[in-house]
Amino acid sequence: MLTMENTNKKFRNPFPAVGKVFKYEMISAGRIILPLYAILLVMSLIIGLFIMDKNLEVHSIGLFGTAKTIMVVLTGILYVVLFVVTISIIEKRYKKSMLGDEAYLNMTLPVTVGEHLWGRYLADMVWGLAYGIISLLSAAFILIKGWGQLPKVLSELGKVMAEFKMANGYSLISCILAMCFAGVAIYMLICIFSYMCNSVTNLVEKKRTLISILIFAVSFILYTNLAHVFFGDAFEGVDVFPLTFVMLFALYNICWAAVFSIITRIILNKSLNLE
Amino acid sequence: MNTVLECKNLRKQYGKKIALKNIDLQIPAGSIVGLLGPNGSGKTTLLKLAAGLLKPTSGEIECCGFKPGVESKELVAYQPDKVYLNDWMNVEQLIKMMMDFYSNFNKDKAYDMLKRLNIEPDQKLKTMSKGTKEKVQLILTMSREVNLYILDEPIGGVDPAARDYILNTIINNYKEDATVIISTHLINDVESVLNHIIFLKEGTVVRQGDVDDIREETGMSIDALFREEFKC
Repeated sequence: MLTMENTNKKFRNPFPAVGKVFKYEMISAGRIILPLYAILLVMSLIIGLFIMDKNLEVHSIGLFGTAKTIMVVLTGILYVVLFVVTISIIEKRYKKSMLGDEAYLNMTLPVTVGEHLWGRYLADMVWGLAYGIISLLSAAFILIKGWGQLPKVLSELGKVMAEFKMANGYSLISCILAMCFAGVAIYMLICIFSYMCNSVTNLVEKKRTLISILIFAVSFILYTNLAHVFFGDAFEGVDVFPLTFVMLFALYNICWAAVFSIITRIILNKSLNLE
Repeated sequence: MNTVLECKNLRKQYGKKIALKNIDLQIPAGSIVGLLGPNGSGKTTLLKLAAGLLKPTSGEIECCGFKPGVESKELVAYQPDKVYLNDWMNVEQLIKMMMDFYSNFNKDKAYDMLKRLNIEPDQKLKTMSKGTKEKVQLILTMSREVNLYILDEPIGGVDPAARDYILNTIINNYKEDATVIISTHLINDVESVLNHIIFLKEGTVVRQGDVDDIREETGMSIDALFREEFKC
């Protein structure tokens, strides 16, 4: 890896340092995120065991029924809150560990800026995937009383998949995987954008919120306008699932994430100022 | 003369405020150096530049023959003037983390110092007083076997009784032939251990040299000279 920090060595194996940064980022964020995931799973299990009936319906009659409804609504809210909390923790961790008090330790470790960032990106990706898996697991817990109908559902799903392939020309699984890939790309774009935003605002002492809003506005205008240029007519006359469009859109987001990542790296390498 | 820290025309500006004004400096290897000056003289800025936490506006700085970066960070142990450790960790976890990242971290030395300072390894940072946290930071810094130790106000936050103990910890635990830079304005407390000093005033080096030579030349103690040089 050729960086300003490695002028004497032409190659530095980045994996050991990235692995260590990843490990400590997982531990730091995990102590906040994991208990929240556990709460979601417990609430889902309670709904699945005590609130859902055999027909997978919620009876909301009477006081007990209202409590059941509230529980279901709270779980729904928790899904959204968990996603927001995950992003918020990732952003706060970056701010504290790379630009705040903890940076006095982290930025004096024998680790390059690139390794610091890649360790964090990997941790972010794992948390994003963990959110997806926990959401699926939670849905499975909510539908626990319907598990007996699984063989029937699977056979129905087989039929649906066959019909989908006939209509679209590719399998449902490849579409689901493409959607997951696009989801991860957007999620990583959000994380890396927050890193870039924090790094830029750290360069100034005043009006940081205003600058953050400005960065968001400018980035958003550029992002949407360029998206319009590239994909403006993508849906016209399309009556099948746009797999290619989904993959291209994911690629578009990855390009934006790369741009934000390069800006963050340049700032940390050339203008780091811990005050 | 071997040098561990070298600055050439080093300048650091925060907006319009100039913190360091094109300083030239050479710190010899194998000495205990006092970086002395009043508040706002540029001591912390110079040390942060050496640790790689700030980027110079212009000029050059080299630590142990390297520009601040991965190689120099392996050879330099830095302790800032603030508590920076993860509050949720206990001392044992911090030691493990240090061992993970620094190949020159001496675990036995760290546990030995903890024992002598009556700090339990399983104690969490958040349950500790500010003074104890600073002691833990110092232990983590001094347990590394490096060429240069940079200590920014290591005795500023502790009571006078603990200062001697901390200074002894520093003197007895740094690697032989290594250099220790201590930044402080509590000169009386550190004078006896210093063998080289640098006086910083408003971002410029106003005096530097061997402590004994300066005492002989001026006929004053370093503390008295400091008071004379920086009187308001």
